[in-house]
Amino acid sequence: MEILRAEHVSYSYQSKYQKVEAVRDVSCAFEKGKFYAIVGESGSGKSTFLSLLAGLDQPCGGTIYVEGEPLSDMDRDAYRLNRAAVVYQAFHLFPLLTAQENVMLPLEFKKMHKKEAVRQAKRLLQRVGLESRVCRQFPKMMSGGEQQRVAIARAVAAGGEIILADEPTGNLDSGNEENVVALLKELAHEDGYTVIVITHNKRVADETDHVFRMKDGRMEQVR
Amino acid sequence: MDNIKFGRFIRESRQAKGMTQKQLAEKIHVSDKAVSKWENGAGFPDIKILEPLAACLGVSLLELMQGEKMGKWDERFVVPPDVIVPFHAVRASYAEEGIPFFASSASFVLSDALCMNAFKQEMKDLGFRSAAPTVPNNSLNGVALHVNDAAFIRTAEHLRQVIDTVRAFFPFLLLLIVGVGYLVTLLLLQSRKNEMALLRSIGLNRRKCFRVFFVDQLTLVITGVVAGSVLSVLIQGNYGGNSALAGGLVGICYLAGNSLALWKLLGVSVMEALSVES
Repeated sequence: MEILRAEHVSYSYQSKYQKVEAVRDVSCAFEKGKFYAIVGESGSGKSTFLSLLAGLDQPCGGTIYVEGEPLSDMDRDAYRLNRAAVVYQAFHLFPLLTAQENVMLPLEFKKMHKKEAVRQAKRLLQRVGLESRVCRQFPKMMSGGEQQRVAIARAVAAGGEIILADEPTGNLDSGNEENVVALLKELAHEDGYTVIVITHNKRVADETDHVFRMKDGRMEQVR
Repeated sequence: MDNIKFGRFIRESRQAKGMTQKQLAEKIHVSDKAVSKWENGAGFPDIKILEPLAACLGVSLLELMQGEKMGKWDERFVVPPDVIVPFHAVRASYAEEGIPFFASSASFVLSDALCMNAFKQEMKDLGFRSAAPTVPNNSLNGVALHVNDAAFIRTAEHLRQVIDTVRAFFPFLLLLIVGVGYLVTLLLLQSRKNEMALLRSIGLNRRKCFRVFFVDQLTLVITGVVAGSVLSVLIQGNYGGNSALAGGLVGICYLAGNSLALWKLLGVSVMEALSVES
């Protein structure tokens, strides 16, 4: 079932010296429960396209549909809170919050009752394969792999359907990379999330169901 | 008054008159020991004796009290250059002796122009009354007080100018504080840009995000303003209320600048802030 569709999406911005056309006339569709990779060189527009899919930026042309509804007509903050979450290469956990509190944050934004939020956070941390001792640890005390799992747990916490990951394994060693990719794959195939990963890494791309390649802002499906 | 100088002056004046201590003592009905004591600077004559003493020595009361001879002056025009004895001291010493204080004319110089009203009140209490300036020929019946308050007026004028200037500058000052609040916030929160971007990325909208950080900053500013106001009340006492008001105003202006900066910072591109590539 199709959940996310881009139609003739383009995005350009004015840098200091010139107009940059980061995304040019991109059309593609993403289905529920599938694992996608977008590959391409640095500066090919991958991250920009991801930010458009996340509703962090508005396309200059074309439309992104979420289950048939144009994203531009929706409350894009609510969309990120409820349906699509972003995972970053540098993890970006709140350093002064424990793993559990980091995961609870979106739940609290949704005004979930505290006790329920704690229960949910613990369940999610367990789901992404973290031991219960990690719950009370601060990001600094965790390994990179653990931090990225917490970030993924936070992304799925609010009960969304879409996970957008910008180089999620870029800062990890190969062991942790495998684990995180396996986790994302599981989330797609078993839990029904639509996972879209930006990566430079061929091994990561090989694990996915479909691969798109971006070059100079244009996109083509490779597999 | 300088006792030594006074003693020497009595001795010189007495010798100039060709009198012995005993002769002088007899004339003013005191013991010769008392005269000797005065001349050696070990004592000072009773205030009642001053006048007969001056008469005997052939000097004026003023000269006696100054302890030196003075040039002749025309009493109609010349005003003694200084108040020789503080007014309250003269009055007190008269009161001590039970003599009603009387002065036919006196001039005062107020050291502090701001004491003018207190001075006028004191004069009124003494029985002086204000006279209408239209009285012809300055001829006044009864007791009159002529206050030459040019210095006071000058001070007041100057004060008003200062107040006007400050008042004219006040809006600019407040504007400046808005600017300071803007800049300081922009610089201070530069390091928390990631945090803002992350909150936005999780799905907190700009307004709610603003609220989170605003409360944070508000706490800081309120603490600062309260601490500053308490300090100024403690230091300035009476004017404390005003400084508290000014502090509040400054706080509000700072917060205005702060809010502008916050809003601008929250407009940050989330991807730009959080993505490693860019």
